[in-house]
Amino acid sequence: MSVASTASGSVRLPLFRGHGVIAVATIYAGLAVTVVLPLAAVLFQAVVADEGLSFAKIREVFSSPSIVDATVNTVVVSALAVVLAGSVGVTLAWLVARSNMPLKRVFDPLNMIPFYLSSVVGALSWQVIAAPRTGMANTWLEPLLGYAPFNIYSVWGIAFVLGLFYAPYVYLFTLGSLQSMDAALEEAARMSGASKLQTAVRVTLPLSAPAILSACILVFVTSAGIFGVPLVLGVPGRVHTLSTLIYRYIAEYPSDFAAAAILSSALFLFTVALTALQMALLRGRRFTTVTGKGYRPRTVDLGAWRWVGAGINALYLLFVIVPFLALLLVSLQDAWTGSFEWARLTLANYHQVLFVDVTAKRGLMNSLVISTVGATLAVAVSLLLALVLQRTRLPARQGIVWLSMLPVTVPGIVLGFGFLVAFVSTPLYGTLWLIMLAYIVHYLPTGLRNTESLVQAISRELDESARMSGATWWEAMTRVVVPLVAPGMVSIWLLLFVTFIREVSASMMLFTYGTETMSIALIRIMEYEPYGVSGAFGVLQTLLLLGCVALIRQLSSARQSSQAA
Amino acid sequence: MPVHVRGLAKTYGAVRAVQGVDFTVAPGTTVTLLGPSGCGKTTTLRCIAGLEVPTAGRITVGDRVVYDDAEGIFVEPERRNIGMVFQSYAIWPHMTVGGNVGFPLKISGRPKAEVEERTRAILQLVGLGDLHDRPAAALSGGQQQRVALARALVHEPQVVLFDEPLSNLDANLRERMRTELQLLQARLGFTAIFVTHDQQEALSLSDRIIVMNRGRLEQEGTPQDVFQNPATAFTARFLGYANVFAGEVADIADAGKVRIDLGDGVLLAARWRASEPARKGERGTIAFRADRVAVEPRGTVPPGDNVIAGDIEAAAFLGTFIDYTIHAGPLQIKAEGPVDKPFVRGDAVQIRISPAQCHAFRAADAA
Amino acid sequence: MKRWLNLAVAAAGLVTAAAATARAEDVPALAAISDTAERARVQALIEGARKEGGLSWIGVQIEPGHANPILAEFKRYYGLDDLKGEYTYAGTGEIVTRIEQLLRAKRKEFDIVWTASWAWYKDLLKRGEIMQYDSPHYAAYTLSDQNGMSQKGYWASDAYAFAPIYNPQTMEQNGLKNFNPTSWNDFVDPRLAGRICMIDVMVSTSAAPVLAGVVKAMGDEWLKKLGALKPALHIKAAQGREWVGSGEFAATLLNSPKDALSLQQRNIPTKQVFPKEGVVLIPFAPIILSSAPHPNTAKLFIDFVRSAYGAQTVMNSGSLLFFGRPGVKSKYPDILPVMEEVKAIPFDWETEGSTAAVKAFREKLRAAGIGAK
Ligand SMILES: Nc1ncnc2c1ncn2[C@@H]1O[C@H](COP(=O)(O)OP(=O)(O)OP(=O)(O)O)[C@@H](O)[C@H]1O
Ligand SMILES: [Mg+2]
Repeated sequence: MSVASTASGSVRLPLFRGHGVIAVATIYAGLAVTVVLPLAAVLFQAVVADEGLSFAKIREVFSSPSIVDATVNTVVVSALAVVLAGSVGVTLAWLVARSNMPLKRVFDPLNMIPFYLSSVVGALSWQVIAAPRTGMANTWLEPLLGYAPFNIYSVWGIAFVLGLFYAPYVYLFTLGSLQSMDAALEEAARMSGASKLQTAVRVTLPLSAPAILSACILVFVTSAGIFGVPLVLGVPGRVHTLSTLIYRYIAEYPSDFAAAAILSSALFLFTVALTALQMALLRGRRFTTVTGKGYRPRTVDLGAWRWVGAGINALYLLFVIVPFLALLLVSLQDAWTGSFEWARLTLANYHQVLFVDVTAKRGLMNSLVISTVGATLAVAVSLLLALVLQRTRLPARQGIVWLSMLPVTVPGIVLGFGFLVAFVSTPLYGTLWLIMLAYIVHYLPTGLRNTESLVQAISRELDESARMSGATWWEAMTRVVVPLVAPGMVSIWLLLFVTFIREVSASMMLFTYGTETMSIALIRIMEYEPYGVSGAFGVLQTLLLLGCVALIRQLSSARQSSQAA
Repeated sequence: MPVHVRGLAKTYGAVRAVQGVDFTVAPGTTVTLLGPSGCGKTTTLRCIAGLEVPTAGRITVGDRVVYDDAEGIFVEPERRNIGMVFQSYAIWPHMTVGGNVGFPLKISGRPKAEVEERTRAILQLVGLGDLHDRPAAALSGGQQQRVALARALVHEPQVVLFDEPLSNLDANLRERMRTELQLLQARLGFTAIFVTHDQQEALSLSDRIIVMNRGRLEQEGTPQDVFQNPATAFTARFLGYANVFAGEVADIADAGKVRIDLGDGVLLAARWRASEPARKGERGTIAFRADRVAVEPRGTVPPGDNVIAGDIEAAAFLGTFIDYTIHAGPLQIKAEGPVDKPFVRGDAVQIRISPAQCHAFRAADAA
Repeated sequence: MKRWLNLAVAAAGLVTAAAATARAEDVPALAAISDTAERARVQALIEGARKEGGLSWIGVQIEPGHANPILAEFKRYYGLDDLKGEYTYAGTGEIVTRIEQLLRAKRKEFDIVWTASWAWYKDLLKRGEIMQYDSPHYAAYTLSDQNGMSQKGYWASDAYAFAPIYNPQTMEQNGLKNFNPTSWNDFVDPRLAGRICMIDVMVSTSAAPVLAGVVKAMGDEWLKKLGALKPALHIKAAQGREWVGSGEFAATLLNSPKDALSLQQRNIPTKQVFPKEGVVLIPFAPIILSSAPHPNTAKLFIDFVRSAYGAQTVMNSGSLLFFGRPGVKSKYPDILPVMEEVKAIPFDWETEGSTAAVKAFREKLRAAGIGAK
């Protein structure tokens, strides 16, 4: 029998198995072009000037007072957002997971809604409420207080909107940790004489600390790199952040790519450092409190305080919902004068975005195309990578994990800038494909992580038994693993679809005439259309996203009930 | 079809899961890999299946080499034509029972009619004739086990591997399945390799038993042989020898008979089990089973070889016998006595163990 | 059967083509030309344009809704029924970025750039990126020439101006009754502190020189007073417009008449002021890029929008411009006087509007506390 004979199925040792090596090489090549190249291009542009390696420019950039200002603003905004998102997220998670707060089942899904919505639309809406003079909250409170208390065009305003929109991250992480925690740990504290509150503060929360910390660092990193909200709310109050400054360097004439690259690199290294810190802090601590699954911890009886809890949760939801309702009012007015006037009632704004304004129409279409095709490709790539990582013994898999997880540390604006620098002279530039590629790369970690956990949940023996039944690796994957993860993949698809629909930062760097996405169209529309038209477009985007959320809920609850059966 | 395993080794990083295992399975027989958790049973089985790539060694199935590190041969699992029943059964929940069982035939491209016919036949054989169209997600543990079995057998592999196939069943069902498996094997004539850490299962199912310890082969033989003549203290302990004591070789008689000094003047005669002869004064271990210990009231037995005085420290009624813990000089001896002549705590007794039932090993063997 | 059908289709195609050529003779543009050489030139351009079939134009100031009637009229005037005209509306800075990126990538995307960025135009000119084209209509652009806003053989300019817009109602609510401003000094009134907004001159390429011109006319003391008001900044003119509309701010300092008109049309009382000290006229000219993918069409388009008829079409579409040729009348004289009636602050775009000068001016603004540090 020949050693290399494929007919007998015997091949040279597995490490040298041809197709496996080709697969790994292809994956590395793909990641090199889509992940490494853009980031390397940014770093390269930062240190290499026309004359060669140069640090003079770096010194120049960092000695500019506006950079110092923007850096301080970025840090302050992100820190405040973490404090707000953290306290709201943890409180709500504890109330839902551990207390007997009424209406928990109603609150739980609602608390997640901001996670799916566009923070740019949120910023747009909050102007209606808290613009310094004409914001509704200010016009109501000014007669009482003698001054207008709120100014949305400030560091506080930006941080507030970000905090509201990122609270669900902390909520989700904390809730997961609380729900999987062994109740005996808390009961032991009660038996040792701790009160309910003491138990919550001294035992429950510290045990959830790794999860909370993770979420907080994620919020910090995301806030530091966010672009849309500071653009809408920061510029009027002269509050620049690093991201708006990067954009300015590129949008200004003459544009200064080197300065943008230097700032991008700094922002990137900063977020990488934070992520590294997070990993160092969490090493080996993640699952120590989980002792068994399906173990429902007992809830704490809050007595009459449970209504206070419900009030707090309702207040959070009001903060989320009311501005959108206000935006809805704005969208129904021919001109916004600070309050709703029946005489100004009109549907013309909707007519404008749906049938007249070409940018709006194109933005909607482009986003639908990018999000549909992009989410499908992203899901396919994530699945392939997850299968390679989880279900093969190919060499150098760890490197694939590192490279595909890298974009999680990269702020969207930096990634978008990287794609701009790397691809501007290729035919890809100026097409929807490039924007789509940037999206896929940026959210590859999300897709891959979720897909990996789906694949991990499928017992290896299921596909191994297919192999033993005569199926090749590919057949075992397509006929056993893929059908089993498919329902979960639909949810991941929807999550990515939603994320792509509202993406701002990378698109801002990459769009050209004709390739505006929905969020870009919104920002463009704000540039020339009356406020009501932007409002109408924002309302439409929100409705589209809410529709997807409803679908996600529907699917996941259907899946849960089918699993229970 | 015979299976030969030569010098099999598998390491995971620094963990040496299997190190240099050799054995042969004769065609149509059942061999059981027996050993404590983590000793490398599953790893060995998966290497034979092709689900793990060994680090070294050579495996042949029939006259076909499926793995050889020196020649660089590795045959993918789907090409080895081996059936396997997994511990979790690995029933595919998105298919029907028929879909699960017919899968191996479908994947090898058999015509639809043949798939259907053979699937139904094998389901009949495992006693699930009427479940063909049932969704596989809705089956009881026993039914799942049968589906897994049918799926492993349907393409008539010459070798079938079982990784603890019965461990998830309750005691009654386990016993029934054991018998059924034996009947099936008699009918279909496949070679079976079984993994278990349940000695009862191993003893009742196998033609030969392979005891493994820390990735090595500890002992191989027929069930009777292994059970009655453990070759090492480890095997003895694993096969339920409740009394294992360390001592020193006091004197050596001919024909492998020794006396072990267990301290405080307690000496027990035993058969020397190590291959090399014993040397006087070396450390040794002695092992004997609790049910081979005769317990009598003090003074009723004349003193002699292997008669020791002791006191009942604890007595536990276990239905068919009474389990005693007896304090005898430096030793704490486990014994089983009949329920009709019970002793109670504090009773003075004498115990006697036939030297033929006492096995002595070189101390280094006692792991 | 199928072959017959193919034949029929081909025949129909021929007939249509023939009809089109026949019609080229009597398109309105040619009918208006008496000079035979000129006729032949335009006719050649029309034929070239028919082959090209498209025109892409990127610009500021002319809103997307206003571009459509201009393009439609252009098509009709030259009989270019099948022309696919596309207009991209963008901010000045953005246009510069976009075009520079495209040039760097060596991609041909736009024919016409129509923006107000003198320094950049000069830069492009030096680099040979602007196509030379001396439209016969440039001769009529006397106002443009007088104000130094023409580049012979390349462009002739219209202009727009940034000047204050305010809402008298909001002024009244803010305690500034009978506020009848006529001077830039009226807009640095201390009572306007926190009530006034302006475009962020740090970002806007066109607004920075304008403010520099005003400062030149009014003196540094005026700038200091303005800084003391701490005006809110907006990056897009529309934001200032909407703020004045909602009453968030009473006035915006540097907006164009079209913003005042937009508010008036939505029943917001709005006034546009052209202060007596003058305004800086911002040259606003269409040019053809050397890399234009549709050069013939682009030349025709320039001919069109620089002709008396075309200029009036642009004006009528709703684009409120000061035209560089006399005789183009606005429908809203209270908001938009003609160029001759407005006092222009003399401004040398080549020196005072240069990148270096703007940079220096921005430093000065920073010192005065206007715009980000
Ligand atoms: N994929 C793996 N990576 C690292 N170590 C492994 C892996 N699989 C098995 N091992 C280690 O190899 C050794 C043998 O494992 P194996 O599963 O063969 O044991 P076993 O005899 O089947 O035990 P059990 O009775 O518990 O199933 C153990 O120490 C185990 O931890
Ligand atoms: Mg095992």
